Amino acid sequence: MAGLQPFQPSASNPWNKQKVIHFLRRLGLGGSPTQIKQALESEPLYFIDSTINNIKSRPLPASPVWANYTTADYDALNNDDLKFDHRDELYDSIFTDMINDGLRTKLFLFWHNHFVTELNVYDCNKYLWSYYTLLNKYCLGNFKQFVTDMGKNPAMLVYLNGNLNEVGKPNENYARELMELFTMGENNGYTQADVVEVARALTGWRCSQYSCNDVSFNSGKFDNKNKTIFGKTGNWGYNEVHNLIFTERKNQVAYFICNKLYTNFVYHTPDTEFVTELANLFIQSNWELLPVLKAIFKSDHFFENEFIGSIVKSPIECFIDLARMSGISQPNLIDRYGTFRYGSSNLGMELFNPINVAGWPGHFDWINENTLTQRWDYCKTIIGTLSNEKNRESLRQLAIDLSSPNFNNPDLITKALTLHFIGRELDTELHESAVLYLKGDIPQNYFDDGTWNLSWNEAPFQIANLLVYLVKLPEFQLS
Amino acid sequence: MSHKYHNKRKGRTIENTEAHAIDHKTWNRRDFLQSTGLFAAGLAATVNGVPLYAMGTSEHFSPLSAFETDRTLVLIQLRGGNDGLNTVIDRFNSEYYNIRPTLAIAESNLWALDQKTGMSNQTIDLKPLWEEDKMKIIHNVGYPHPNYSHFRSSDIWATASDTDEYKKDGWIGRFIDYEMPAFGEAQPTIPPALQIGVQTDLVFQGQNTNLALAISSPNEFYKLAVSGQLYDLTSLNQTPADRSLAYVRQVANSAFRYSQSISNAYNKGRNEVNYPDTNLAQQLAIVAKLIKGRLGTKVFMVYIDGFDTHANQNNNHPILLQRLSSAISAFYSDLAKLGMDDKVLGMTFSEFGRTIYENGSAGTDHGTSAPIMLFGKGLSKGIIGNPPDLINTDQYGDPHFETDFRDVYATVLQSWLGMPSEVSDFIIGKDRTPIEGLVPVQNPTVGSEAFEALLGHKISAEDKDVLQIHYSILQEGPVILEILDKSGQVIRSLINEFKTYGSHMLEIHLKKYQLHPGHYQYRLKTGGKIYQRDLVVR
Repeated sequence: MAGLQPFQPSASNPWNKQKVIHFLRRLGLGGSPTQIKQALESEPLYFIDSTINNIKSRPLPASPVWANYTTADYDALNNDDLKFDHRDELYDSIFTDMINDGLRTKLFLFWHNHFVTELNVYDCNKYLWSYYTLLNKYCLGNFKQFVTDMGKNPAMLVYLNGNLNEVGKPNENYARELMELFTMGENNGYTQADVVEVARALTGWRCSQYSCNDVSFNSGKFDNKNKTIFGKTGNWGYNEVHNLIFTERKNQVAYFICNKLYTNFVYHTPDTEFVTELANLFIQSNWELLPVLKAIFKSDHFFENEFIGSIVKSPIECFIDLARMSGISQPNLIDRYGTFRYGSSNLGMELFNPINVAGWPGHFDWINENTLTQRWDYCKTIIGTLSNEKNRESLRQLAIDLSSPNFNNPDLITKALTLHFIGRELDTELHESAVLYLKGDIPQNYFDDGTWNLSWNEAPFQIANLLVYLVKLPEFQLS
Repeated sequence: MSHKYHNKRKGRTIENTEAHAIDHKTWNRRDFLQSTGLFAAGLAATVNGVPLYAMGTSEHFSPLSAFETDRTLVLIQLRGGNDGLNTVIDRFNSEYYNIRPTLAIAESNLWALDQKTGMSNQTIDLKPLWEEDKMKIIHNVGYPHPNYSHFRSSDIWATASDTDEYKKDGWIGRFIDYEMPAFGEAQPTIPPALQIGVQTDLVFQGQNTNLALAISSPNEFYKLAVSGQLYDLTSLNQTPADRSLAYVRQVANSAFRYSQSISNAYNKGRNEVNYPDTNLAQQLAIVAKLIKGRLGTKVFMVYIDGFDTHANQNNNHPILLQRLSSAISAFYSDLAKLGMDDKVLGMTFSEFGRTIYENGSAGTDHGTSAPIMLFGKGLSKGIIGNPPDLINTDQYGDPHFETDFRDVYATVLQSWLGMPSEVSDFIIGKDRTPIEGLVPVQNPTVGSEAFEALLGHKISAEDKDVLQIHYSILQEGPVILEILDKSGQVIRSLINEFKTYGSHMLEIHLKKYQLHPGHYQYRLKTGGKIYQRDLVVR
C-alpha cells in the first residue's frame, strides 16, 4: 500500500538511467538518447513536471485540407482513392509524431482506447479528424468537459448510435457505455432504469455517416419530459446528465478513472490506497487530468523497482520504442506499408479500429506464441532499417555515446546497449550470450589484443546483431 | 627468403592497422541485416489467425519436406583464416622450407600421409582416421580474385558467390529452401540446420528467413537441452515485474517449437567416448548426441576460433590443430559406436589461407587458398589435387588455387546429399565441376514422390511492376497458385487449372492485381501438397 508521496532521489535510490527510461516509456513511447541525457542532468521532479507541461502546451495538430470534407465534397472530386489517401496521410503524420515525440501520442492512445470508436463503423474522414483532435485537445485537459464533448462527437454519435436516439425511439447504447465504460464502471452506481432515463435525456443529437454532415441538435427529436436519474427527477437534458454524473456519482467516477490510469501507467493490479488518494486529488482539482497525471509520474510508488518492466508493451509501444531509443528518426523509418502501421495492425492493434467498444485489453493479451514470434520478425525489419546504409553511422554513434570511453570493450558496450534498449540489466547468462552476439563473426584475437573497437566498419552490423538478440528477449517485450 | 615477398600488398597484417582497416572496408554486406539468433527460424505463420505450427503434426501438413537421405553434413569452420601450408605439409618442397625458416614444420615433427604429404604431430589423433580410410584432403582450394578481408571472404564462402557478387542468402540456406519449400507455412518440429556459435549465420540464410537454429554457446545449449526450455522460470520471484517476465518467458518457451525434438534427441543420444575439454570438442559432443539421438537435422555447423595467426604462429597454430584433431577424432569414435560414422560427412573450411611467407612477427598474414579436410567412414583415403606451387605465384606472392570451393559444395550437394544437378546448379551456380569420387554417391531423388515442386519468384528486370512466379511440377495435375496477406488470408487467386509436367512461369502486373507495397506470401498447391514462400513488394 502506498500513497502519493513524491519520489526523492537518494544514494540508495538514485535518479538513474533505468528510472529515466521507465518514466519516458510509461508516459510516452520511449526516450530518445538526447531526452534521456537531458533527464539525467535534471532534477527529477522538475524534469517530470516540465515534460508533462510541455505536452499540455503543444499546439493541436494542424487541420488538413480535408478536415471538413463531406461525402458530397469527395464525390465532387471524383477520385475513389482520395478518401483513403487522406487517411494514409493522417496515419503517416501520427506515426511520424510517435517517432519524433511520442509523448502526447501515448496519451492519445490511452484515451482512444478509453473512448473507443471504430473508423470501420463511422467511415468518414471528417468525423475521424474531429475525433482525433478531440482526443488530443483533452488528453491532459478537464475530464468532465472531455466526456461532455465526446458524447456529441460525430464519430461517437455514429459508433454508439447516439444519432439514432430520439424521443419515442430511445437508443440506450451510448447511455449505457457512458456510465459503464467512460465514467463510472460496470454496475458501479447506476441501475438499468438509470440507463433508460439517461438515454432519454441524451436524445436529439443528429449526424449522418452517409453524408458526413455536421452535428446538430434537433429539439424536435429531444424527449422533452421529466426523467429520474440517480433518484433525481427533472426535465434533464444533455448537460444536466453530465452534471448529475459528476456530482451524484463523483466518487465512482474518480475512482474508476484513476484505477484505469493506474492499471495503464503503473501496473495492472492497482494499489487501492494509491488509487484512493489519486481519486481524491481528481475531485479536488475539479476533474483536471494534469495534476492527476503528474501525481502518478512523480510518485515514489511509480518508481518502485518492482514496477519497472512489469507491463507488456503494446505492438506500437514495442516498435516505436525501438525506433525512438535508437535516436534515428530518418523519414525512411516511416513506411506506410511497413512495420509500424501494418505490423501493429497485424498484431491486433489497428489504430482507430480497436477490437470492440471496451478497447484493447492490453498487457498479457498482447502476447501469445503467434504474436510474440511475429514481433521478433517485425523488430528485425526495423533493425534492418536502423542498420541500412543511411542510418548505420547513427547507430554506431549511439553505441559510442552510450559506452564512452570503453570503445573496445565488448562486455561494457553490450551492457550499455542492453541498459539502453531493455531498460535494465540482464541476468548473467543472458548477458554472456548477448556479448557473443555483439562479437558476431569477428575473430576473437581482435578482442583479445584490443585491436577491435567501435570505429571498425563492421561495428554497426555487430550492434544490429546484438539488437536482433535483444529484441527477442522476453525482457524487451516489457515496459 | 621471406623478405622478397614483403610489402607486396598492404593490408593483410594486423600490425599495419590502417591498411588492415582498408581490408575491412571491402566489406559491404547486409544492407538488410541477416538474422542470427536462437529464433531465426521462429517466425510463426498463421492461417486465418490460427498459428500453423499448432497443426504441424496433422497429415495435411506433414509431407512438406523432401528430405529423404539419412545423411548428415557437419561443417567445421576454422575462424580467422587457416594456414594451409602448415596444416598439410608438402614434405619435400624445398621452397616451403626456404620461405618459412622459422615456421615450417620439420620432417621430424610430422607424420606421413603418403610419400609426399605430412601433417604435424599435433594432428596425430587424425592418423587412425586416415589409415582407416575415413579422411580425405583437397589441396589448394580457393576462388578467383580472392578477397583478403575476413568478413567479405567469409561471406563469399558462405554464399558461394563470385568475389564481386553480393548474395544475401547462404548455400545451405538455399539448399534447405529447396528441400523445404513450405518452411514458412508448415514449420518443421526439428531444426533443418543447427549451428553453435552466433557468427557466419549467412551460410544458413535462406531466401526469406534464416533456416538454422543458432545457439550461442555450448553452455546455452546444455541449459536448453536439459531443461527443455530457453528461459529460466525458476529464479523469478512474485514481484509485479517478475510475474510479467515469467508470463512472457513461458510464452517464449512454448513458442520455441524445436525444444521437444531437441530435448528428446539429446536425452536419447549418448556420448560413448570421452571428449577433450575444449570448446570445439564440446560442440561436437552435442552434435554427436543429437545425431545419435536421431534428431534428423541435416546440417550442423560448429566452429573453432583463433586461426588469424598474425604473430607468433608457432605458439598458437599447433595448439589449434591439436584441438581440431582431438575433437574430430572423438566425434567419429563416438559416431562409430552406433555405426553412424558412414552417415556423417565432416568438412573443414576457412575464409582463406595465409601468406606463404612469414611476416616480421613470426606469423603469417591473410592469404588465399588452403586445403579442405573431409571426414567420414567410406570416404576412402585420398588426396585430391596438388600442393600449391610456391614459386609461380600470383602478383601478390600468393599461390594460384587449384580447386574452386564451389566445386566442392556442388559435389557435396549432388553426391552426398543426393541433389539433382539442376538443383545444385541453382544453389551453387552453373558451370561447376563436381569432383569425381570425392564422397560416396547417393542417387538423386528427382522423380521420386518426395521431390515434387520448385517454387520461386523474381521481379522482372525490364519492368519493376512485373512479378514472375516460377514453378515446376514433376507430376501433371491440378495446380492452385494464390497470394495471401501476412495474416494468411487468400487475397488473390492466380491459377486454378490443370498443368503439365515441367517448368512454368506466370507473369502478373502488381498494379493490376493491386498488390501494394507490403508483405505477402504466395502458395502453390499441387499433388496434395502445399509450397509457400514470402513475397515482399517494394
